[in-house]
Amino acid sequence: MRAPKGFEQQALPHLDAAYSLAFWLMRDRADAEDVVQDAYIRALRGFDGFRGEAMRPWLLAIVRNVAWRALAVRRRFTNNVIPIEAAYARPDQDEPGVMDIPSGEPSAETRLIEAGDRALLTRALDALTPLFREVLVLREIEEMSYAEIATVLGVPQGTVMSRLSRARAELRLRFKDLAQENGKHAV
Amino acid sequence: MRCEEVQDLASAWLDNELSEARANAVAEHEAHCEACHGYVTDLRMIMSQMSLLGREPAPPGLEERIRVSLAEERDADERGQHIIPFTGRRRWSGFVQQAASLAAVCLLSVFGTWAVVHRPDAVSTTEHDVVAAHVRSLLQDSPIQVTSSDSHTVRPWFNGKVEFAPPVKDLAAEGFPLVGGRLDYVDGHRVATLVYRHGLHTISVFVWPENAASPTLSAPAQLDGLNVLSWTKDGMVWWAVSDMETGEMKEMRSLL
Repeated sequence: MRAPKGFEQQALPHLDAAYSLAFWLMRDRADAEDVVQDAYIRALRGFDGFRGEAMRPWLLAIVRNVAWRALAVRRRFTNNVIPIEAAYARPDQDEPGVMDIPSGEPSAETRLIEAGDRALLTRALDALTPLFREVLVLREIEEMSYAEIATVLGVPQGTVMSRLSRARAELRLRFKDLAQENGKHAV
Repeated sequence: MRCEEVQDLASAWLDNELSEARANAVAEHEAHCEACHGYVTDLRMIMSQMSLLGREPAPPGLEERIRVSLAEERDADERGQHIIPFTGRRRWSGFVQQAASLAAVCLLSVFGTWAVVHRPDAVSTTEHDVVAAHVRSLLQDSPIQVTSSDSHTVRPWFNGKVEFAPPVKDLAAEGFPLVGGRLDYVDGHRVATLVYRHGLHTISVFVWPENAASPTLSAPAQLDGLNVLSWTKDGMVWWAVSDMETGEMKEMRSLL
């Protein structure tokens, strides 16, 4: 490898972007660090093949692939573990609260806007599949174009469009459910 | 355009990624449809909320660690070794280096195996295993897999699970009621574990047949705040682990 010192110069400015994506995929700080470190080493090895296209999508594509591999490994180890939501489910909570929306209450739309709350949004994101989470992070946080997202995910732009649409629809539902639940507890 | 279609396209519309004709159609519908307007409002709100979340900043020190591992990777590359497996292109010049590292790995594994087999301190491994098994059992919902104070229930439960019939005694009369049994894996063997109680203390008693390399402690030991006692009797190796006092442990040993 022609030790390209330029690699650090070009790739390290995107460290926050890389870590952020890894963190949103792994949802664990230590795992995210491992993923990013691994990804940078792999990126260095592949740097010879880098032809001066945009660095950020190229790098994030590697981060993303490493993260997905790590998620697959994690899934193999946690298959028979009780999900944390189940472990923390409150027995006093009248089941099943999420889907039955009492018609007399203020409209869900009103609540949705009232409950513009960071923690709530984070929980809603957590409830999504990583497939939806990554596309949302790339669009909303990284503010990438559909073309750039397509590069990161290695899918056609049309897929980006439909996946993003489904991801936002899904996030909206989760967010509403949580806002509804929260409203209930507050009373 | 139907509402369903509009809501499908709303996301791309807000991102300005639709053709002009479709964008106009969506805009037209949205302006007159309350449901779709509400949906679009929700999406707008969610999108802006999410962009407010912002990036999760990399922890301090990560950049430095990456710089170091990149430098190490370069060094390793010059020597033809890699920290993580290389999946990219292969070079002919690397072939000899690969063969060399393969040989090195073989050699390492030979020494590794030798070291494991000739472990100087088999006792400490066993001690570590039984303490870990005891603690793990307490962390779970129940420290036992078969629950019974009846030795005639516990003993047959081990049939087919271990290759020996563990001696099972209930010591309720002596103040150590049997609560049940479970299986554990100690020092590379499946062993029978009997669980007793004494007041608030839980005692794990590990039993397996004596063999040539049956390690036992010469004296009661302490590990992670737990008392460990081991002995051999009737061709069996016994290890007891508990948070009760050594004196009580010894009393129990004399009863078993």
